[in-house]
Amino acid sequence: MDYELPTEFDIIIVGTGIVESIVSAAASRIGKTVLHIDSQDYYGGFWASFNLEQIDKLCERNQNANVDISADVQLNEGERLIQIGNNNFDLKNTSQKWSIPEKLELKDVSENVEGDNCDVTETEADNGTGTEEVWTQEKLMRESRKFNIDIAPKIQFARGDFVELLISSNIARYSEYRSVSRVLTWLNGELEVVPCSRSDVFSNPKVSVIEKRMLMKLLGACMDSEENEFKDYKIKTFHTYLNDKRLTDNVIHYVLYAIAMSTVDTPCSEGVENIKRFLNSLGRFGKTPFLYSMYGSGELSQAFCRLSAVFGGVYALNQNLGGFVFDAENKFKGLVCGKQQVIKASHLVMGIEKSPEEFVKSVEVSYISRGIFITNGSVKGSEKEHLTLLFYPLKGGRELCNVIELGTLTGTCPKGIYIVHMFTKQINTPKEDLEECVSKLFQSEKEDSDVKDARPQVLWSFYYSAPDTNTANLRKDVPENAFLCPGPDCDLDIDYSIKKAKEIFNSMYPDVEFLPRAPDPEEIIIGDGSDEQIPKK
Amino acid sequence: MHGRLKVRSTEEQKLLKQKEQQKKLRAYKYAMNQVAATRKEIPFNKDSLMLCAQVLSVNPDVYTLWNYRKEVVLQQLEMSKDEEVDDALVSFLENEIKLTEQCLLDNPKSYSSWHHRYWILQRHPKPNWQQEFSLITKYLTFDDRNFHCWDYRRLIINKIGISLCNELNFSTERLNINFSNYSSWHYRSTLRKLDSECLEEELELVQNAVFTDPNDSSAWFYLRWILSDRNVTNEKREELLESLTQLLDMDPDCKWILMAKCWLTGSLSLTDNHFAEKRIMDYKKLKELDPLRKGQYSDYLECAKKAIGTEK
Repeated sequence: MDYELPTEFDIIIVGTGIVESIVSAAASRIGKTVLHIDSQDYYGGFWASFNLEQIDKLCERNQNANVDISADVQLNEGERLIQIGNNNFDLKNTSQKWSIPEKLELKDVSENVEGDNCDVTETEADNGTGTEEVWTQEKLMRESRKFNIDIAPKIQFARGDFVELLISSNIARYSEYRSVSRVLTWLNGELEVVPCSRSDVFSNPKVSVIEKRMLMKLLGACMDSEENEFKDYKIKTFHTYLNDKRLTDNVIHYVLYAIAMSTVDTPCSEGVENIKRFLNSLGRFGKTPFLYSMYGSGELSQAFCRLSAVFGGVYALNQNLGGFVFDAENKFKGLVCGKQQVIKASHLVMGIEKSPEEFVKSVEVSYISRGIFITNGSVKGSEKEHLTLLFYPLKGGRELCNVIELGTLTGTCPKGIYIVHMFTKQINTPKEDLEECVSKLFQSEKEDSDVKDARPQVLWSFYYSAPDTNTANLRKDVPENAFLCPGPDCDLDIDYSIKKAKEIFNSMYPDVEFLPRAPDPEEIIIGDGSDEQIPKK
Repeated sequence: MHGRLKVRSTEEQKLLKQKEQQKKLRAYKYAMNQVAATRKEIPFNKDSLMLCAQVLSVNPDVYTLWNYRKEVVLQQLEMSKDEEVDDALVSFLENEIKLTEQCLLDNPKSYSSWHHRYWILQRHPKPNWQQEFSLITKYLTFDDRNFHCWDYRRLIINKIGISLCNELNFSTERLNINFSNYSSWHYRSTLRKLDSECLEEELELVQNAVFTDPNDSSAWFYLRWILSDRNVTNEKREELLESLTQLLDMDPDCKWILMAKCWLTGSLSLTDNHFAEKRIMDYKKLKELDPLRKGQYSDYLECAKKAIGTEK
């Protein structure tokens, strides 16, 4: 397309990750002119969701393929052009694997054709009674567009900062959520439902009456959090506190690994804070404290982008970015778009992967071990489809693996299929870190046809190490009017990213409200109000 | 360009709202006058009946209007008395049922709408009670503390006959979702004839509740109902007393546990004096714990002491 972008903005934002998108919405909302630009042809950067075909190609994709330094622009004296993007934060250790045949063998195909002849109700009844559907790569690829596979899956607390921001800013209008319907944990060699709420405690047959009282009392103590209760545990772990309470092992397990989302090493105060956060979010939406974004976590950044666009933000994806222009005092001047156009702005905000190498050379990166699995059934089958969050204690409780299982009701995969996300802090390689959990939840790959294994089969898997840049100092080496946005962290939710976005916004525009409530459509008068009404359609 | 956005101020919104309200008031007054003026007309005034429906769907609590509708329905019934099944009458009554449905959607706790619905169905030549039953189940899943719905459910069940097992499961289901609900517990008590077999189950259920939250009164009331049954043996009572003593150890300041212990020791002390002593101690503790009902406990205490006295 032959068009030119305007030549001057208040702020240029490069990259469409969560933090960048929140800053974009906040700036547009207060009337700043925003250019939000991305070299990729999709929204979200490290936070995106992909269909099956796209993710298939993800490993091959060079993150900054569209970056080109050969710009042909006239620079003023003292100004210099710096290349956009770096390779410090790419996904590492990527390994993708299909565990099903590419196509059905000829014999099977003919059987299938026969099957198609019977009437529909009968086939459906068949599926219901558990005749397993045979999946092939070809069949899944045909449904590629029904997949929305998150590379940074996120679950939100119903009363967390993110949900509060969605509501207070009225961004909730641009997105849809589904509540997590059960929380599981791995206890005594089995998947057990975690009694989250008062009703769960009451109705859970595996928790004895004495345990019911213990559990309720303990949660109450953490909620009230009186000074005296925890005064001896300032430097001790939460696990020690629970042990001293003389609870049963089951109660300790539920509280420590699931409700407090902790490990045996978590300090007491942190464990108590986590419990409070968990319990505060209960009873707002659905049966658990958690929400998942319909159609994938990639929707989150797009919701903010939509608000930004409504308030005049200019969007341009799939752009050939020629470089950043900095002046002699190392102040950001403008962005070269295409080969020739220089777009000026007083502030620059960029995703960390879009930053010039020289700004991020000393940024320390830790990694998150992530695994994505496409399976043919739920890890814990039941009558209705569940949206499951599972806390799996690894290595004898020293680490916690977060597992999210999504079914077709979340709009992220076709019917009959589940997507399982696993992530934990990286210690070895993703495969090694997640092995314990994978081996327990899914059928083993070696075929043991004698023993009937009720666990789901993995059809496709994808392991990778994702960079976490949230603990690094992102102001060091960065010019005053330029800001770096960290990528996803290892938390379940995005509350920390909101905090980061708010910090960046406040350093640019101190004393201005961050994302005030946007008006509802009925509060908006189109035009100057003199025309009576716009005709419908 | 789409033109500039201009946000309506709160002042403007307030004014708009006031205007709306004035409009509603005028419509309401007009309709009420119209109905009053034409109420005695035979055959009924169609315009008035229509206006009446409009007002009711906005405000279902105007019982004068419901009475007007009933008068009209009686007129219709009178007219079609001789014929076998009158399609016109059925569709007229169905219309009334639909109206109550609309009103109940707006206000599920409207006495008049529930009453009108049942009143119509009773006079309906072909009432579909089964449909009513599904409807009420749905309503109860939306709000299981709405006692109108529980009442209505009992009425319907009397009409269609009861499946005890299903109803019990329904009650358990509601309790699992939220056991702080007098209605669910009470409904259960109308279903259960306590025999030795189900007694065990009910005691377990109620213990699950009081151990989960001993300060929630609803389950304790259900326990009191169970204990009022003669099938509860002294052996059972002692067992339960043991379990409640354990609970009291964990929550020594909960008055409900002490009260329940007193219910148990009350009947046990008839045969064993040693329980009477315990009972006196528990009442003394209750007096300290719950000073607002001090007089009541003192009274009980006196009775308990007297009981020992007479036996001695």
